[in-house]
Amino acid sequence: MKRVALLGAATTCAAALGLCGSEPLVRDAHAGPSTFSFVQVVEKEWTLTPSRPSVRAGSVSIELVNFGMDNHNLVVKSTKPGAKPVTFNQLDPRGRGERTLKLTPGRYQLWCSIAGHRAKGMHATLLVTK
Amino acid sequence: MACCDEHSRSDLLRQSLAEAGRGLPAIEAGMPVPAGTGLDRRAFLARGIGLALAIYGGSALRPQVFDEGIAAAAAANPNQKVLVSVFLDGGADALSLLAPTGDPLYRQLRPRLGLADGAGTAFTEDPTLMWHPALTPLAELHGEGKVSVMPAIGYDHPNQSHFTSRHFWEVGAADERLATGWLGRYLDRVGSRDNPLQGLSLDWSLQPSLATAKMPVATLDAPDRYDFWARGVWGEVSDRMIDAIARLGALPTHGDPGLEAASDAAAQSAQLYDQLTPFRPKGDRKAIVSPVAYPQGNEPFPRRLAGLAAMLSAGLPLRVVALSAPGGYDTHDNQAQDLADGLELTAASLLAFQRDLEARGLADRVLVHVWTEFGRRAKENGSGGTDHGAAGTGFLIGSRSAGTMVGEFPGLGKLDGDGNLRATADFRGLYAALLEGWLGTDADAIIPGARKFARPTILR
Amino acid sequence: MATIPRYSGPFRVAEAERLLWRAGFGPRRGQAASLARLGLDGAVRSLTHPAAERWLGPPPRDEKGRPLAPGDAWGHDHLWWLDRMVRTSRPLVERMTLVWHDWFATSDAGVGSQKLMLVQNRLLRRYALGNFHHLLVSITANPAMLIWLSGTDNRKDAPNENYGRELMELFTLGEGDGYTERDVREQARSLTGWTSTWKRGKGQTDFRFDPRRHDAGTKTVFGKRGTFSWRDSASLCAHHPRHPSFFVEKLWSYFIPEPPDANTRAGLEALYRADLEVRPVLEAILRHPAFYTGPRMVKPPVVYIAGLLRGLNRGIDTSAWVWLAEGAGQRLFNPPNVAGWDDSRWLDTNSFRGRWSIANQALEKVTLGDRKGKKTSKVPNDPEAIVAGALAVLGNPTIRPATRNELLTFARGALQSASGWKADAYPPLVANAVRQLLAVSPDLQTC
Repeated sequence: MKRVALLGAATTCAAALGLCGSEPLVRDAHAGPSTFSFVQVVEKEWTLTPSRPSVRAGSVSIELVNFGMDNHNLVVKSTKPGAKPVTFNQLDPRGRGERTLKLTPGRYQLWCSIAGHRAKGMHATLLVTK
Repeated sequence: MACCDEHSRSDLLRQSLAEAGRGLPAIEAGMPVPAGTGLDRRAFLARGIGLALAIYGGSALRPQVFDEGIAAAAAANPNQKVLVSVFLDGGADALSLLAPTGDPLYRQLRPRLGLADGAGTAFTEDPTLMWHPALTPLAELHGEGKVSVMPAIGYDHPNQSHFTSRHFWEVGAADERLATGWLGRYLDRVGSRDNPLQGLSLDWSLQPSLATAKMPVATLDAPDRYDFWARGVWGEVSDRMIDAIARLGALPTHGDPGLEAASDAAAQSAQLYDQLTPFRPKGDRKAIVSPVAYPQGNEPFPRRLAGLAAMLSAGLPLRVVALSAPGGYDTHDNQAQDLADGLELTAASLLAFQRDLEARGLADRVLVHVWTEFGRRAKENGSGGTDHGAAGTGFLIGSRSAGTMVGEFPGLGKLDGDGNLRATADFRGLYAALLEGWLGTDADAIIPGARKFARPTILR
Repeated sequence: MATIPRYSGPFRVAEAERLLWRAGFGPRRGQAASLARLGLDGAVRSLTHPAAERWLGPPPRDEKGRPLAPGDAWGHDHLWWLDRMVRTSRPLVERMTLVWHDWFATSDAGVGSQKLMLVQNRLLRRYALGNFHHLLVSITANPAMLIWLSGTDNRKDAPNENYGRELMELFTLGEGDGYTERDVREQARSLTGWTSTWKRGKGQTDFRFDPRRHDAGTKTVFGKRGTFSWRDSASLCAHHPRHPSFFVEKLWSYFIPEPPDANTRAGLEALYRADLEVRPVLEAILRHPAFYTGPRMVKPPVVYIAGLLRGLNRGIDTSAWVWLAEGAGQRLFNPPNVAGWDDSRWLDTNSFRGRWSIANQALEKVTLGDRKGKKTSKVPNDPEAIVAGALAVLGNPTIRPATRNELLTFARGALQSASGWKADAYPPLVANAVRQLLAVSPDLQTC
């Protein structure tokens, strides 16, 4: 028996309150349509899954979805030496967050930096291609 | 790698919704004269002692049928008792709301999360319990005899799914298939066909406990935000447009149920808009003036309660109201902080609401029921939180509340097989007592198998 | 075989409009008139045997002009499907896909992968007008469904009844009709064996049947004994004697609000029972007198939105449609529960306001006198012309005379009070208001 009617009501409410998402999807003054890509990262205990293994270099909308029962965040960092990490705000369960990053070609590490979460498996790699 | 931008979706959605509802400012640049002037055609008319009813006056533009229904409902029983249901979403931790600091097993089960002795107000009815520090406002009301506490309320064979357990509480039965809410069935029995305000969800969508089979109910975010704005329409044209919605909704439907549903929605929406006119901000006028200070901030809860008190004060014929408390109570981790944040705003808002009702002379008419779908596991988990449990905490707040415990605290030595608190009161018995004692109706007709449940003493 | 009644009344624009709304997403401009010219049979056939798909109108974009990324961005899944509803030349296929989405209601709130939801959506579309038995077998093994109703948790040593129960209760037989709790348990055993693998960076993948997880023992289902598999489980339901009546009644309810009479029901069941094909049953429903002469139905929110855009000749150009649809109670790929949306509860005071916002958004691009520094064409100070103009903007829908009168009364009243500067300023305001009122009128909320 799966009855999520009540969750449905709750998430609708949460969405209306902005916890589930909103428009516009991205706010980005720099990129035109041609260089733009999207990737969605779904997190739960204890997985972190990007919607695609690779994206094209340029402006990339990275959307974090907390599909779990705990709070999670996301750190995106190039594997190049000296690269600075970008950290997304921590999200409550069912929360969503989005950041638009300018990504150059290369390999990027994605992980949840809440204590212990990365070690439990919440990390992945994103390839940025030319 | 450079970050271009970051924003919070919630802010954007709030903004979008606000814009969708609030519309343009009353005065638009470039207009020869201020728009929106001379429109005070709706007024408060006093009807009976202490009753001020927002009704339509001054023009014959729109049908009166619903307003008359509202007026009749309000005039028939100006002292109608009101029940407000406040939901703590996620399963609030009973062992933190009222911490059994005097129970020898407490420190063992809660080595990290246990509240320190003396951190909160002592619970006078049971020396083993202590109020969570964030619930000090409720402790204050309890000291005045205005809070009945249910330290372990639930049902037998507890279900640990949020959705199923919440559903049971909402429909008033351990029945996964029941589609109407317990308050909805109350309205189906005693409500009126022309008063949607009788069952009010102060929310974006219908609170399932208010789902009726036939009677109209209303859903709105907040009384000061229910508006109909259209691009390129302003001033008196806008006002006439609202009247036209009502007239379109009043056209004959010749018994066509589809047309009737669409017409009712239009008529009830226009009617609700009318009823809420005094609460809509206009020019410099503040929409809702409260005699007490409510907590400030972005959370809608205190704003909704302030609006609710104002609506009751205006004599609007409300019977049952449902809304959700701020905060997330599904505290699998980071419980100490998350729980305190939610409880603090919830309790401060509820205290302000009670003081507001007292200042307005309405406190004898309103009872607030605070509930959650279950409590949490007695033993804390390894992530600074707790998992889903069984019996939870409930409160009945109001000047007429008995102010005494409903069911005792069962003690941590008698947990159930899953390590959860056992219920010492059944929510269906509480519902039956509320229906019979407070709302004055036959509980057997509303709560399936109501006879089986003992009615606790809840009123003074 | 019982003869199924056929509608023999006139098939005019109004009848064609109803057909286009219920079997699709409303008419594009002039489409109702051209469909009416085909006559009832021709019109129904054009929907049930559509030509190769064509896309009408501009491709979808978000408000920044970017193409949609339905698998990779929040809400783009919803926009992507809404766009198909607006632009397709095969509206019944799209509408039936929506029917199956509601029938086999799966929510991304439980699946957690827009990509898998899109895979399921393709499956539902493939069988839109096809064979129910084949659809049932396919959906039973569909990854999103396997996640949603615990199919991959259902294994020999720990059977999970979730899918087995809903398979009978919601998908094929109806609650408690023709099965017992024992059948639920035995079906769960038959359905054991599905699994998937979690791969870093890919999520749940490689959904497959693993014989080691399957309970190969003998089961008794509906009184029959056998070493049933998941395929048998679906087939037993599809060939259950009670299934045709459940199927006919449920399918009918999507198109006609009042249940079929006994004779019609018997005829439709016989038609369906032959080989479990959907199309012939659908054709009979779309030609039935009750379709054209019975009461109106409230349009589901996404049908309302898609129809407004079709009537206005507007494509998807903003992601506002995601939260607007949600505000009215229907976010695609997110039905409230496994029983789907509740068609009897679309409208309340808040969802009416949600539809008001939808209409307002739909009319955004044609607002009169609203653009700063931009001269718009003069609106005549003439109620009749304003109402006629509003009807034209919305694709000339058929409305009740009483509704038209109310709009006229409103326009007249608002214009009457307009003297002095208002004589010039008010007509566009009144025209905007009439369009908005028309769009939210009971006539346009229903079909």
